Amino acid sequence: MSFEFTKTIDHSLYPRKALAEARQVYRDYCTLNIVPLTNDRAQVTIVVNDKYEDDCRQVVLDFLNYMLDRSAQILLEEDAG
Amino acid sequence: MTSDLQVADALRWGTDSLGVVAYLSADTSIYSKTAVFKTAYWYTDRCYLFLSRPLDSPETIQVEIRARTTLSRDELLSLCREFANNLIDQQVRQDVIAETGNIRDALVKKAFFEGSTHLGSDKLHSNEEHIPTADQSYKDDPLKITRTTGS
Repeated sequence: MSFEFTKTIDHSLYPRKALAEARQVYRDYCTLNIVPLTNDRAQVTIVVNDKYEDDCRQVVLDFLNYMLDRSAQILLEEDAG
Repeated sequence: MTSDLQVADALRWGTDSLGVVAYLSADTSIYSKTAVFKTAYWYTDRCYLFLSRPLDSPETIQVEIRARTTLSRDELLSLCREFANNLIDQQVRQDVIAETGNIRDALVKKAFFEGSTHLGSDKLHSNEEHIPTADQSYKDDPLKITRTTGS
């Protein structure tokens, strides 16, 4: 059974673009199940591919860090613009 | 005594399927979202971070901090304290930018404006009449650059 980890994402902190980009970059390592909760929140379940079962912690947390990095870049660019 | 309680309020611990996690709360009336993001950005190479807004406290940004490698509770606590100090530094920088940003912009505008007024538009065009042609060599020295001047 694949390892799963679920987080609630707030789009005021993680823009949809950052989530989409992270999903694309990590498509070989994990898949995402996204359930919108409200207009600005979504429940994201990260399912680690069986091939990377031994490194599931690293895959999940690296994915979240990547999404945070992209969110920071996007939000800071918006502030500067 | 009071400060210890405040630290305890702002910093909590927990464990989930990914291991030990520390939760640090940042009140957005004190720390701007920009300051939180800039601080978090600098820590993503040292630890794993996740930001959220608690449903019961939407004016707070909760920072989840996890170690990249196995750390003792004291080491993780030290990392969280360091993060909190850097958050204060970053917020001070943001405040200084807000207070002095107009002055900085005015100085930059002045510097560029002065540069543009000293050069007429005719002088900004490149004079390329002396560019060597294919049959010329630098040894020909048509501009007499090698000529000795002065004494």
